[in-house]
Amino acid sequence: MAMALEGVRILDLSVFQQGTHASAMLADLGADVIKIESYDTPDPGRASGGDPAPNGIRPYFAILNRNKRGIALDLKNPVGRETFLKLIETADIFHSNMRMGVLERMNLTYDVVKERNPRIIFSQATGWGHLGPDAEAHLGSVDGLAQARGGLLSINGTKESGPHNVPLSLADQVGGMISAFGMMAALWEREKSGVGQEVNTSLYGSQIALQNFNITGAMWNQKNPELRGKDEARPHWGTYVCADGGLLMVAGTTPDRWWKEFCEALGAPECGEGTYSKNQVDTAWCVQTRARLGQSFATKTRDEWMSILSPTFLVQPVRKYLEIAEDPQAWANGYLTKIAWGEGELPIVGLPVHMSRTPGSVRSLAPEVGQHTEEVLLEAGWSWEEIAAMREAGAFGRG
Amino acid sequence: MAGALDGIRVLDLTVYQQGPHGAAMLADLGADVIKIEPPDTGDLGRVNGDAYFNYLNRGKRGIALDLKNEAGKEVFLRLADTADIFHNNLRPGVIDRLGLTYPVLSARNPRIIVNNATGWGHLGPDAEAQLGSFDGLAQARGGLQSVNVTLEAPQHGVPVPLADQVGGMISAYGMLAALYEREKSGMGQEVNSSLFGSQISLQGFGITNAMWTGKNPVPRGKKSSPRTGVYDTADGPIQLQGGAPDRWWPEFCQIMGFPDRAEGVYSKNALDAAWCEETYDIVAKVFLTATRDEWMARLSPKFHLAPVRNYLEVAKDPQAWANGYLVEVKAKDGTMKPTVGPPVHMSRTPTSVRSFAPDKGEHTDEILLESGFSEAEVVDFRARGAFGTEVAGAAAAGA
Repeated sequence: MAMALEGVRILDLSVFQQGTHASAMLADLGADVIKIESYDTPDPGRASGGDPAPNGIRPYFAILNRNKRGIALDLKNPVGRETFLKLIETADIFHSNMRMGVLERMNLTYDVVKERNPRIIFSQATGWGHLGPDAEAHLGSVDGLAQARGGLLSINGTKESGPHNVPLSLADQVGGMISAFGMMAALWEREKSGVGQEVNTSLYGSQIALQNFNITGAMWNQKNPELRGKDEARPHWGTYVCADGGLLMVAGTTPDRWWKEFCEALGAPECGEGTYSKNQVDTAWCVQTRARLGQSFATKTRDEWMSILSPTFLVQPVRKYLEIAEDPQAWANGYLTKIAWGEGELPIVGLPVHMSRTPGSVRSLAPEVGQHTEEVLLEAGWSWEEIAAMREAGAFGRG
Repeated sequence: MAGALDGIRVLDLTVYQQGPHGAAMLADLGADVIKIEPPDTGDLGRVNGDAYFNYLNRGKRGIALDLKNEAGKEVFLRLADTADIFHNNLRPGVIDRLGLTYPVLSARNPRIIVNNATGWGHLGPDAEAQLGSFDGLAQARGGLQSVNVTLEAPQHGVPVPLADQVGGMISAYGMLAALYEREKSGMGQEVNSSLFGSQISLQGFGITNAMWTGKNPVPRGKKSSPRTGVYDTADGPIQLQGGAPDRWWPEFCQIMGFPDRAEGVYSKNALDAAWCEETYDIVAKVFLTATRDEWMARLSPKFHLAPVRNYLEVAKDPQAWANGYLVEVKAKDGTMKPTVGPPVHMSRTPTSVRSFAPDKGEHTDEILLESGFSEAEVVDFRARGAFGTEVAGAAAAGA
């Protein structure tokens, strides 16, 4: 079956995570994403994310560059640069996540590349946005800084612990999603207008968009959300510890409807007296009620409580990653999938989107530096002799 | 200037957050998003506060339709003939009971794209069980809660509806992919996304890493890594973030006035937990001696730092305004209100927030008249209860 973005070619000059994740999302849908590195300066993300797994692969780089082909080009070498600009003529999107100023210094701005191909879409995923004082200052950024300045850190934690970041590269991942969304909007629009345009996104903007109505609410009420004490959460929304140490998340809106029955099911009918929405304004009541329900939860295992409470009440286990790996629901929807690896298969995170007629897929892990240099250039019309001469001239880097 | 999705019509039968946010992202790009609400209750999200409902339904028009009423359903089907996308986030099974499935709609309009943004995915045991979900449950089952923990802070959900927001982004991405593909094939398709799948995709690297290594991530403490973390200053927290500390750490120690901490190689010292803790305390003491702004001025951009900002501080950041991450939008009372702008900047077809949420059924007549209904038909459908009895009564009073 054809894939949704089949025939779309992306030159991907991105490193680490925000940029690489965005182009990988388009590769998942069938785009031909060509990752550009030089033998001298490979993506530093190749060495990131901790030690290699027992299978010898570093998951960080392998996942963020899945489904891509790799070409080696030294863009500071005149032959390498000219090769790049010729490839631009064959491409739909040029995508990068360089710090502001870097593409200018390389003389690879939108004005330069659209000269060669007016249909090109020029996507930049920066740290702080392409405008404003910090764009002019060429200020760099990384995930943790965007979480901090973007306000996410300030609301994450408890009164006792103080704020802490969400300990995964959340800003990078969300920034990547937003950048993929922007690129696709420009692709679609180009079908109508026939011309490309510049698309700018950033870690910072994506963090603000992630919290859009929370930040809007703070601006309207002139009030910041505050960290709660660890025992102060309202009892109808939050986690409880079960007899086996497993955590169960309880999440229900409109508790006035189901709270009484819920407390009865937990053997604590006294907690169900009165009207929930009135009781919950009393912090002491919340602390006390949460403690009482905690005693009930501690009498049975997580799985026992799941079978008693679900689906009448909306509860779910708090799962660790390896438990997700065993969830049939995640496999049934392709959120987890397997790809061929050597003689066997490797489990891997799949796609969050299921398209009925043009399904996406994870087809391969990240390429080696320059793994597809010859293949890509031969396809684009260069001869073996020309490629040898380019190599001699240092177009691919010396390594 | 035209938006990228000018001329695209989205029928938006969504409630609360994941669904409304996905459609609002398309409205930001210029799509004509028509929010369909049941005449009696409206979107249940209306009660979650002004900022919540207004922001998640920005840029949309509103129509009230009783889909359980035969006349209401007929109006919906005729509108579906004029639409490019039908987007909903109803629990699996509800669309079937309403008789508004993809086969039904595509039989009338083969170009239509149907996007279901569910809780747990449209396949698998929990789709068959028609199990519902909410943000907190998807964060729990999707593993995010299990990693949002430090040695000081217990496991907790990220206290913004992160799963809903990310799920909305993923469904917007899916809808755009289907739109683009339709330009090639001329046909629509069914697109499915979910809270659960979006959470797994958000943590794609971490979950794959766990599956390959057989190990879950281990929580770290505030003092586990002196080069990366939150420090209190004289007037608020600051985030220090260090990519390759062996390079910058010695100079940092010199400037901060504890040169002895630069002895040895950082990456080797960092393996020693006691060294990290001791060093954290030394760094922490120095950070307390000046304000955040003073530290930023002294250390940035040479070292990677950002203030940990609360929402009202974000609201004052000129960088956020310069990039349109914060904008002002005209409210119904004619005043300009600050809010969050689109995270994507497109040079030729700019994104924008054009209005806040419509009132329930605000544009019913306008939409129907421009969709080919005659005035007499609108009167007839109203009399047959297509828009609910409440609306019929109000219209009669108005006439």
